[in-house]
Amino acid sequence: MNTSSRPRSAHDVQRLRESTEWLIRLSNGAPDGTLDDEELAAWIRWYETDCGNARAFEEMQTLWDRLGLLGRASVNAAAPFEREPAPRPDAPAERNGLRGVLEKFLPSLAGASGRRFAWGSLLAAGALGVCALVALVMMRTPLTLPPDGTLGTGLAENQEAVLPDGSTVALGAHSSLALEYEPAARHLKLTQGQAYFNVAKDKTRPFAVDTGELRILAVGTAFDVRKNDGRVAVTVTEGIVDIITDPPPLGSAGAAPSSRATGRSAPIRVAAGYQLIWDKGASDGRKQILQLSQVDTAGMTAWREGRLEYVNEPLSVVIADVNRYSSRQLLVDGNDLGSLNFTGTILVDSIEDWLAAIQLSFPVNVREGQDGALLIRRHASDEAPAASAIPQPSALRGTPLQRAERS
Amino acid sequence: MAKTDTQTAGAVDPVAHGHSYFDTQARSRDVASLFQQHNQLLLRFLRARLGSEHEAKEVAQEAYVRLLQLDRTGAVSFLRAYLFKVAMNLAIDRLRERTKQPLRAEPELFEELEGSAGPERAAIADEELDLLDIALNELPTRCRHALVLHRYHDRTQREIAAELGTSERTVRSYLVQAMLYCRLRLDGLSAAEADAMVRQ
Repeated sequence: MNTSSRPRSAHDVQRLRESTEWLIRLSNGAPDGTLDDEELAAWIRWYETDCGNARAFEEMQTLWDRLGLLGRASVNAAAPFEREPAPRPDAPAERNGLRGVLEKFLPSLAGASGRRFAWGSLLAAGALGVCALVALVMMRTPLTLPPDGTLGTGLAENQEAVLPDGSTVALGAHSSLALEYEPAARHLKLTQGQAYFNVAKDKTRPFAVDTGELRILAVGTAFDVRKNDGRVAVTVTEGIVDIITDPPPLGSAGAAPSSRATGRSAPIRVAAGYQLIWDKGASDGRKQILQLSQVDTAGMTAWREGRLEYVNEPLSVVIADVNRYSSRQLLVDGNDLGSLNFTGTILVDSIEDWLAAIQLSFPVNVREGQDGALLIRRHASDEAPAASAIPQPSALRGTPLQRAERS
Repeated sequence: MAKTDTQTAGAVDPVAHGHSYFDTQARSRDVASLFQQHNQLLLRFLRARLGSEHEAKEVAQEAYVRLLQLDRTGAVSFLRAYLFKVAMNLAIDRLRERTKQPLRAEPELFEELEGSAGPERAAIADEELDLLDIALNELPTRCRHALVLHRYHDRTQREIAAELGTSERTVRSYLVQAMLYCRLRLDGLSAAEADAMVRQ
């Protein structure tokens, strides 16, 4: 944000224009300048969907604030527009503009030390504003990964990153993603956890995400992959992906679906709005399951906002997911939750509420185990839940489980 | 299986921990997470609304306090909408106050910052303010008029339209042009270049 020349493309200028339009809509002056919920929501969408939008907005807002600094003290002194316009591009040092007016009309500011003090302060405030903005932009800009990097997240930590090709990934908690980019292919391995990809279009370089069990091929599209032990769910939010089951190792035959040649099954095409679930099947002899169903994709990707949403998901899988966000590890005691399915929402910052809730809706109870772990155990359905380490019904007011029917 | 409606609000029985303690904790967590995820957005919004970063922070703080006192829990998305709603109402109150009491400078803020910026930074900012000053004066009269009324006099676009005898739409376009022009001039474009880009 200095005064050196910085070329802007027509596109950039358009973005600045859009930002300014938003800024002016949001700042519609006096108290009766109303703004309805929809408009606000539209602004938030616009601001959040594109990092470039956010930056442009911030830039214009800084200018807006700067204008405020420039004119603030003159507000009650004079209406600056009543002056003769005095364009003097060649004489920047002369105080002809607002500041000139300001000093003329506000003698208190123009006093010997007073003037210096006030201006020094104003300038300092401006400069700090610039620094704060730079810091903010840097924090907001996700890291760009090297082409052969590994991105990992810790417990309860979601992260976003820009991949070397411009695609973006949101990585869920306790997840691990390895990049193996080649000139002709973009290979990624999700070895654990969950990731949402927004793929930059490049027909010459297929984008392939491998979980071991499945390979998901995309050209320009957005999809979510969740990998649990023995179960993988792929949710497509935009475009189309092809999914290969039981894929050959990455790199050997490239990402292209050469499956027929190797005798494997044909790729499964999954369109936006659908979810494909691969399940290895239980040890009781059930076979591998592939299930395609229509889903609420917003719900399936709500984990990025701290909500885990499930429809008819095995409780054991849900617990494995929750473990990626929970400071206390949940252990299934007796390994017998197989037939229990969960539908509902879990807020990752109120996992205790959820634990309290499942004891009421499922034949399970939760107890404190070793090392702060929580043991989840199934009991006979007609048996009353045992005393528990987890807050009992009093804690349940307004938990996500009840939210649905209350609203 | 997986029924989610086995509990109703009426069946909930206040035992053991009692409502208030737990709810307060849950609420604090919700508000903390809202703060983490949306504070920047909220501040951007309030700055646009109030035209002052300082006041934006004050209002945001107040909005969080209101949220902590809210007597019900809900999904994060609900809370976010509520947070912005509360913040918007508080901002409106502020603006009403402002029309009664003329805007005061913010000496405490400046005092705080005084001395914390080196001479180099001050020089850059000085140059930038000079340039901004020039750019403002290069604007077509009506454009500048609209911007000054809006930025320094908290006039709504409707009021400005009435004063200039034009439509609100035109006022908005004046404002956008004026801002864009200033931005491009600060980028280092000449008056003619900036003017051409704004007109594109």
